[in-house]
This record gives sequence, structure tokens and C-alpha cells, in this order.
Amino acid sequence: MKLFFRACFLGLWFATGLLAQNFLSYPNGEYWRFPNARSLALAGAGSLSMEGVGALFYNPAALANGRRMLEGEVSLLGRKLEERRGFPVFNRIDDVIQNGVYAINNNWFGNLQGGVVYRPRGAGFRWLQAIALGRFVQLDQDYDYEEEVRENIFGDSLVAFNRIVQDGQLSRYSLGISMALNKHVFLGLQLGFLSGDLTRDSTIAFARRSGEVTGGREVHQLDNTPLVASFGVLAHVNSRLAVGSFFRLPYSLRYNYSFTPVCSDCQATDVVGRETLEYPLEWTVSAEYQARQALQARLSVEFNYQWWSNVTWQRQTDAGQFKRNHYDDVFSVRVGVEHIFYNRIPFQVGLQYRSFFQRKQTTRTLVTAGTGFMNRWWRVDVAGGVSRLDYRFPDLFPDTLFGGNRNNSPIDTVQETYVFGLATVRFFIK
Amino acid sequence: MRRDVNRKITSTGNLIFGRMGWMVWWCCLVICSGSLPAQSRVQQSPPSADSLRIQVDLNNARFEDIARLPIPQEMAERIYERIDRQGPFTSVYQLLDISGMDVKLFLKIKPLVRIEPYVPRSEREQRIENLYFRLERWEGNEGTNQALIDAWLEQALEPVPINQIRFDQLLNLQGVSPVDAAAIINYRRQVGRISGLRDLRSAPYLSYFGYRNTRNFIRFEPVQRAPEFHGHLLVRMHNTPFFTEEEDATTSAEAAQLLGGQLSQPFSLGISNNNYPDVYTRFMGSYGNGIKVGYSYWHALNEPVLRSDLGFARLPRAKFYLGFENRRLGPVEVRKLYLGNYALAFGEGVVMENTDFFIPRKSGIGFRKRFLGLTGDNSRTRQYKLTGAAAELAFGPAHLFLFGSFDKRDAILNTTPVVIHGKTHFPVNQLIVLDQRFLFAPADDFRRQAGLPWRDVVKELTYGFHAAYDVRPTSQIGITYYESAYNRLLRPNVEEIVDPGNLNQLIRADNEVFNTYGGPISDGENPIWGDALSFRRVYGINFRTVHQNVALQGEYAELDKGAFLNGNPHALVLNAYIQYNSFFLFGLYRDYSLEFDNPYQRSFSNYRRFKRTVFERFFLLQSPFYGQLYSNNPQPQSERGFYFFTRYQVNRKFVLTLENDNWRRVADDATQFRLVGTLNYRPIFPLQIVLRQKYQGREKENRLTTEYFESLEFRGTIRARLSRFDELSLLYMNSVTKFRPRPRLYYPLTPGDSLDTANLAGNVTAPGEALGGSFTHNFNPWLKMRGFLGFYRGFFWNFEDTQFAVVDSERGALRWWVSLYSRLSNQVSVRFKYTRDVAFPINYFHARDTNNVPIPPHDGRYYQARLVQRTQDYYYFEMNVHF
Repeated sequence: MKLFFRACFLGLWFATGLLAQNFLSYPNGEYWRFPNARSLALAGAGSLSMEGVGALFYNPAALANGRRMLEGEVSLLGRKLEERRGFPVFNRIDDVIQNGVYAINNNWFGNLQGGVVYRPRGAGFRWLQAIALGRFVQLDQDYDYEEEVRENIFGDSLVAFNRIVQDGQLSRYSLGISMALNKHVFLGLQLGFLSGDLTRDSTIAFARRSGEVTGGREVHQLDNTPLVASFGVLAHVNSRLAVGSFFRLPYSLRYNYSFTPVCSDCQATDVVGRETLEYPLEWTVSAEYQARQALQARLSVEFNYQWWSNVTWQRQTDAGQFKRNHYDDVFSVRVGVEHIFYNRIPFQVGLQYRSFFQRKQTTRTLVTAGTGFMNRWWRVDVAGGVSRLDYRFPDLFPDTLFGGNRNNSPIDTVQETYVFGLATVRFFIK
Repeated sequence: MRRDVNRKITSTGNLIFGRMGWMVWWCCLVICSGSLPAQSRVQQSPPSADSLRIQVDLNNARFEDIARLPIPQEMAERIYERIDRQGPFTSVYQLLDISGMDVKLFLKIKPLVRIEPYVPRSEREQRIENLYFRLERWEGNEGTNQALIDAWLEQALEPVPINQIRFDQLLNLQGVSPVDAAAIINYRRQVGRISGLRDLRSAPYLSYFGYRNTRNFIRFEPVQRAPEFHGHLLVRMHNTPFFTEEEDATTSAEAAQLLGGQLSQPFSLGISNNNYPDVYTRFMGSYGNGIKVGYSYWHALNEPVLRSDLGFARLPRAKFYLGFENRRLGPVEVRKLYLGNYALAFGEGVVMENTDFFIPRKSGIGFRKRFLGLTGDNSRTRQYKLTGAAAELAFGPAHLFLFGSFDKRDAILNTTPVVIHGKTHFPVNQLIVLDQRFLFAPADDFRRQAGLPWRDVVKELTYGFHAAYDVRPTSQIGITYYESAYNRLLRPNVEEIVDPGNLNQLIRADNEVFNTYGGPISDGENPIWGDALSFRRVYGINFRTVHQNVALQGEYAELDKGAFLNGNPHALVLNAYIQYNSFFLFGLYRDYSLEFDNPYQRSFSNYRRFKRTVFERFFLLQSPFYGQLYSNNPQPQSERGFYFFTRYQVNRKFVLTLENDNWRRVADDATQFRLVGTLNYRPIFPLQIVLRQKYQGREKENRLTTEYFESLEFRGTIRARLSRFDELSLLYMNSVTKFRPRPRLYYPLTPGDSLDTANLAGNVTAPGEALGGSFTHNFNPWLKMRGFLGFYRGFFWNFEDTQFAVVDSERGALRWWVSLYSRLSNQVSVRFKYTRDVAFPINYFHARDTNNVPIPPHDGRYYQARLVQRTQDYYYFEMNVHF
């Protein structure tokens, strides 16, 4: 009987575990990524006037923008996720129903990225504007979630302590070139490959069962070498206006998947299988207007479209097959304005609005700002951004796991605040 | 050479951001110029005409001209690029800032170049440059009447010749009173022609304030150039709910309950649980002064995207218009002809003014003007928009407006059908203005299952006219008539909207609900529309006259119930305005019948229709969303009373304003008053101290009834104007509101007990307090930053950049915002704003479910909430293009 209970418990946990994922980022990864601080400061806009190796991440044709023969770039990325989960409670003071918060997670995650650009100056390379090599965070899946389960009686005694920890990211190693078709039009190509693994630990530590722990560990081990290719074009219409466009081709990730139960006196066996995630074709059109004024204002507007409705996610294991192929196409609009004070101090603000592939009715907006300092041989940029999202989602750890039946509020209200910080150092070697 | 010097300075550690380097260079230059040969000093003397001819005007030169100077090609490119990117030089010495320009080269080309102001391309661009600070305010603001802002934007950039402008056109200008408008017209008649600003200023009875405002919109010579196409485009996006109504709609427990946890499935019940922002796009264009076009699209916060099915495509639902102005048809002047969506307002707004938005105390003067006449409709009005055609014709002193419209309206339908012409029919209960136009009312399962939506459920045909005669150029009498026909019966019935269990909570103020127009008297056919089942007819008379510095205006109207001038519901507004240079006094009297239910009435009132009725107490209704019957109602409530408003400038340092309103609500005979005094003290020009005290109350003598309400509010502002239009201000607000408690605010201590046992002894006092500071910094004319940081507790309102915020926090909250306004060029500007509001948490709560029923502590174990906290993040983006 005990074994049966354990099996049912794990089965229930595993099945609900498929839902018990961070709505926005799992298993596809955090989708707001920026190659450098200036890009973040402009909320992802400004790809046409990007000068460094970051152009590999967006429009590789923009590698032609720089004038230095050899330059390098290093960025330190910080991402904070403040996640609050709760359910409606009655606030006697305000006489309204508000969201009582039962879980607050506030974590920072960091990364490094960067690369080098070489611009040949030989007579035989007139068509070749630049060659660049860089490393970027393509998919960031770091996540840390903790919550307490307590009795609904006086004293609020602890029932259990729940935790989800995801660790891992996929890095993109890119090589790109930019070529001049004529004096005003440039073409860029980028080819990169992804590398990295993902682990996910989900545990419930029961307080009243002598610290009994149950849960499991999921491991996603990359089984292929996904190639990420992109190409773009950049055209200077006149001295004020530049337009461009770039495509990123679809790619797939294939994981060797395993789920290892973790529990006291546990007799359940590992679940192994394969998992395939597809990422869609992405298309961006950009326009940039350079104004004539003392602060050298530049307005950048970009529209991005991703064909998520064409991709699927599937996991085939001993426990069965799970598949999802009803994602929504995603669009995003990015607007950024950049000023330059005293020819040396840039100041940028940006805003990005985008829909979400899990559900098109859910949209997010990112507000950003940044500044820095430019010198002859180096440039430093710092930028920050904030995005807030409220949505409803089923409990990550359903109440039934603890013997309860909280059918009055089967879903959580989730409030996520993302804070991004990026510092970039660019140095010109020659 | 310059590079070498800079390196040397850097090595000594004296170079900070390069500025010191420039200063050193400046000193070197001054020293060098002292030791230069006489030839160089000669260049300091005024240049001759010949030398001017050969000098290159750098700011306005072509690249080829610069390239002819004795400088390397690369330097010519840099100079040209410098002008192209950063704008014109203001001093020839700025050439030294260009990389590679050394003193030798500079001295070589200095005699060959000159710096002249950059020549703008057109008169319009020059006006944009001169008025950009006004445009900035108007662009992000819709004002009390959206049509006014459109008119101001257009007329500021395309001024009307003052010797041709009409009285009614002057009335619509910002800050121009009827006395000012009449003063200009009378003076023009007297002198024949106004020749300039000095001439205009000498017009008798024209106030300085009126003169200052008029001159922004007029020109003195007729337009000589050929017609051009100009316009304005606005794109605005934000997620700021006003008064949290929109926020409630999608984050409330009701919405969560309806959602049923099906997050990934399309929600097909007419409610799209989305978080789409508020998006407003508006375009208006004009070709000369004869052709106008307009387009606008508005998507409210969290609203589903509404589309129009054109057969071949489904496009987002938008408004548009095409207008023709200043034409002639034989002896008849066709002043305006508009097709598509148009806006109308006549007289005092008693008979016809078709906006969806209620403005309290809409007196028609100062900041509470209304756009009079006919114009294209680019506003966010959706419910009472007029779609069809309208014209303004004139023949001598007589003019005539004709209008016709056919459109759909949102309404709550009765669930009890009637049989008419052998068919089952669901009559209209109430017309309603919706924040978010869901297909069905959320939380009203019965109507949803019965297939009774509230969006676009009744068609309305409206037509009418306004005929006026100018007795004198500044005196006018007119009559207005309109009739609306509907394809549904009108059967207002409060029992179909209020939850049946709450019908015993109706109070005397609900008389206003019971007197909603409808019933058998509204039944009728229409000769030109066979589907019509009911109608509404309103007519009225209005007048306006100005004598010297006194203006008298008024409008009287009746809602037709078959008793013309003998018992029909009526509405009356009379007002008088007297103006001197440093003083004005405005007095108004209004008297509205309870039964005067005119959906196009927007005349003076303190409150919306249905104030204090059951519709305001949304929790008693079948759906809390029916509370919009009150909260969005653009009609004034039925009231009688006198209103006075005066402003007196004692001297250059003191300005006093006083507002006093005493009125009696007709529905429940409750007396109310509102008294607001403001003292503006300016001891020195850069420092301004504004003290404002409000005292407001209802049934002050009946403190034992729930009618009683009393409020005191003090606001003090100290504003310091710094250099370059920078500004620093401090705000302090203190308020107290006293009222009788209501059961809904005080649940019994023991959950589950009857609400009847709630303790109602004594009055409640709700205090409010706020303290904050704001700043404005202009980096230069192209970039401006503004911000605010403050604490508030209780009810607090504030002007926040271009937005008006009304917030409420019982426990107190920290609020800050920062905005950046960037004029990218003469034509393009953008604005970013971010607001954060952090409420202080509390730890006391009682866990209840979404139906407000305590969750029983049975065997189950639940997640326990540990604190209740509200944090809001709002963003705002706006882009404007003038061309």
C-alpha cells in the first residue's frame, strides 16, 4: 500500500511537473537577451547602428559600421527575476480582494559574453568589411524558486518546503562577416553553434515527516550541435536614414532527457527519453533616423516577427509521449532613442513591446535606459531595464500533493518583475 | 598638433572628459591671436560686402562648397558631417572641436568662412520651432475636449488671417473668452483692418491674457503660397489604468473565476483575458484650408482587439473622416462638410455634444471649454460617435448645421423578452459607455448563456439641425433639434440590472434611475427607417451676446414627451461673464429635470448622472461591470444650483481665485456645496507659491444620515523656476474626508454573521496626506527630463507630466516617475515615461475565496498568505510627427 501510495504520488507529481514550469521561460529559455549594454539601453533596437561584435547577434551586416581595424568587447550581464505568487485574499482594511503573496523569489543570475571584430584594410579585401567572432548567451534557463506550505490554522506551522532550481544555459559561438555590395549597401552573414546542458531539480521537503524529501532531478543533455544561422542587409538611404532587415533561420535542440526521482525510501525508477525543441524562423525589419541637432539624436524603430506556430516541442520517455504544437506567433516592436552629449557621453532610452509564444494574449513591455563614455581607445556602456508582468497560472506544486483541496483558487496570481543590467567594455586595439 | 597637446594634458592628468582640453585650446587661441600678424587682426573687423560674397556660409553650404576650401577632402567631409549630425555651428571656433583641425588649418580657413543662422526650410518649420514648448504640452494632452486640441495644433501651425477670422472660430481658441473674441471682431469692424500685434493689443475690452493667446493662432496677412499638405501623427501607448477601473476588469477575482484556469486556450466567451496596453493612434491632415482628413484608432487597456469585417479583410476598428471647408455653392457659403466620423457641440451642450467623456463643471470658459460647431472626430469617443455626414452652411448672418448619423451603440439588454411583430425581442435597458468593449458583460453568466451581448446591440439613427442667426456679429440666437431612432424598444428596468437579492437596498437617489427615458412613450416608427421601434427627440433654444466686457449665454431644451412647453422634461443653463484686465467673474445657473435623459447632454454639472444611485454601488449589481453605468456616464446628473468663479490679480505678486458652487440634487433633494480658493503668491518672478484650499460637502446638516459627506483638502506648492526653463517644485497635500459608514465597508468581526449587525455608530474619517517634489531639466531645446518622487496616503490626485493620475492607498505608498521628452528633429518627438508606485505592506488579512466567503479551515491545508502588497509599474510612450 505504501509503495502504491508512493507510486501514485510520484506519478501525480511527475504529471503535474509538466505544468509546473515557469510559464515564461521553461523549457524554451528566457527570450530577452542582449548582446551588449547599448543594445539593452535601446531595448533591442539600434541594430543598424551597432558597431561592435554585438552585430553578430542581430544584423551581421552592421559589422561594417565600425572604423577600427581590430576591436574587442566584453559584457557582463545581470538578470534579476522577482517572482511573487499568491491567491486572492480579502483585505479588511481596504475592503477589496487583493493578492496575498505566499512565495517571493528574488534572484540574480549573471553571465559573460563578448568577442572580437577584425576589419581588413587591404586592397584585395575591398568587398570584405569585417570578420567577427563572438560568444553570446542564446538561451538562459537559470531559475530558482522557493515556497513554503503552511497550515491554515493559528500558528501557521510549516508543512513543507518546495523548491525548483534550474541551472544551465546554451551559449552561441558565432562567426560572421560583413560585405559591401556598393558604397551604401552591406550584406552580413552569421553562423554559430550552441553548446550547453540544463538540469532541473524539483523537491518537496516535508517538515512533519522527519525532513522527508521527495521530488526529482531532470537532466537535459544536448545531443546535437544546433546551428544558428542568420543573414541581414543594411542600406544607407541618405545621411539621415538607414534601413535594414535580417533573418535568423530556424533550428532544433535535441536533448537526452532523464528524470531521477529523489525520495526517502523510494522505489520508483528513473525515467529516460529524448526531447526535441524547435525554434522558429525570425525576421526583423529596422529603420533608423539620425537627426540634425546638438545631441545627435538617433531614433531607431524595429519590428520583429517569429513564426512560433510552426514549431513543436515533444518529449518521448518511458512514461509516455508529451507533445505541444500550438504555440502562437510572436511579434515585437522596439523603439530606442540615443543622444550623445559632448560627443562622448551617450544616453539611451528604449521600449520593447512583444507578444508571447505560449499565449498571444500575454504581452510584455520592457523599459530601458543606459549611458556610458566613449574615448579614443575604449568605450564603456552601462544599461538597465525593467519589465513587469502579471498573469495567472496553476499552482507549481498543486495543493493536492499535500492532502489539501484548495478548489476555491486553483490558479495562482503571478507577478514577475524582470530587471536587467548590462555593462560592456569595448576596446579598440588598432 | 591638437592631438599632441591633448596627449600631453592627458598625461598630466588634467584632462577630464576633454573639456579642459578645449579650454586650454581656447586660451592658446586667444594667446595666439594676440601674437598673430596684423593680417589676422584685420579679419576681426566687420567684413565687407565683397568678403561676404566670397566667404562660404558653412551652415547653409553644400558639400561641394565646403570641399572647395583649402582643406583636405577628409576634413571637408568631417565639417559637413558635423553640421549634418549635430546641427549648425553657432561659432566659427567650434571648427576647432573637429578631430584633425589644428590651429594652422583653422586660421587658414577662418577668413574664408562665415557662420550664419541655419535657414529653416519653411514658415511652418519656423512656427514649430517657435511654438515647440506649446506643441509639447498639447501633443500629449487631450484636454477637456479632444477636438479643441486638434484645432489648436492645426491652427497654431497654419494660422488664420485675423482680418478674415470669424467670431465662432475665435471662441474655440485657447484662453480666448467670449469677451475677447467679441473685442477683436468689434475692433476689426471699427478700424476696417487689424494691421499688426500692436494694433491688436489696442482693441478695447481685449484682455492681455486673451491677446497673448490669440496671437499664437493668427496671422495678419493672407496666405500667399499654394496649398500644401500638412498634418500631425500621434502614436501613444501606455498601461496606466485610470482610477484602477480597467485594472479591476482583468485582474479582479471575477475575471480569474471566469477564466477557469484555461490559460492556454482561447477564451471564447467574449472576454479576452489579455494584457494589451492602451494604444491610441491619431492622424490628421489638411490640404490648404479646404480639405481635411483624419484617422484614429484606440484600443483600451486589456480590451480585445475589435475588427471591422470588410469582406476581403478584417481590419482593426478605426474612425476616419474627410472634410471640405470654405467652399461656396452659389450664394450659400459651405463652411464645412464632413463625411465619416464627426463631432458636434452647440450652445451650452444641453441638446447636443457627442463626447464619451464627462468633465465636471464644464462651464465653457478657460480650461473647461468645449469645441463649438462641427469638426472631424479624431477623439477616443466610441459610444456616442456620430458616423455619417454633417454640414455647416451660411447665408449672410444666418447659418445652418445639418447632420445625420447611423451607428451601433453598446447597451445592456433586458433578459425578459417581449413579443413584437410576432418575434421575440429583447429591449434596451440602459445605454452604456464601456471602458473595455468585451462582447458580454463579465460575471453576468445569465446574459452570456442567453446570448445577450452588450457590445453593438442597438442601432441608432440620429439626425437633426442647428439653425442660428447672428443678430449682431457677436450676438446670436439659435435652435437645435435632433431625433434618434433605435431598432430596439427602450425599457429601462432597474430590476434587470441589480442583483435580485439587493433590490431592497435601493435608496431615494435611485429616482434618477427610475426616471430613465423609455417605456411606451418612446415607442414609435420612423418614416425613413423601417426597423425603428423607438425614438428620442430633443430640441432647444440658445443665445449668446456680448456687450462691451459682458457676455451672456444660455440654452433651454426639452425632451419631447408630447407636452411642448407644458410639462416636458427640461434643462436650462444660463451664465454671465464679466471681464476686466485683472479681474473676471463668471456666474452660472443650471436647472435640469430628473426626467431629462438626453444621452448627448454634456452641460455643466458637478457629477455624472447616476451619482449615488445603485449603479455607483457596483457590488449590488448583477455584474460589477455594470457599475460603468455610473463610472463612465458622460451625462450630467440632474441638479439645480448656482456656480461662481472669479479671478482677481491684486498686483504682480498676488493672484486670487475663488470657486463656489451650491446646488441641490434633484433625485433626492440633497444639498451640496463646493468652495475652492487659491492664492498665488509670487514674491519674485522665479518663485511661485500656490496655496489651494477646498471645502466640499453634502447634507452637512444631516450628519446622521448616510447622505452626509464633508471634505477638506489643502494643497501647497512651491515652484522655483531655474535657468533655461528648469524647474523645481515641492508639493504638500493634506485632506480629510468625513462620512457615514456603510455596511459594505465594515464586515462583522465574526465571518459569516449577518451584515445587518455591523456597527454603524459614529462617523468615519478618511485622512489623506502627500508630500513630494518634482523637477524639470532642459538639457537644451531638444531634450527635457522630468521626474517626481513623493509619498502619499489616502486619496491623491496629481498632474504627472502629460498624464493625470488619481490614486488611493489606505496604508500609504511611495510613488515616483521619470519622463524623457526628446525632440529628435523639428518634426519628430518622442516621450518615454516610467512610473512606479509601491504600497506599504500589511500583515493583517482574512483569507477568503473569490466570492468573499471565508475559506473554512477544514481538513485541508492551504497556502497561507503572509502579506498583502501592491506594486505598480507603468510605462508611457508617445511619438509625434508634424509635417
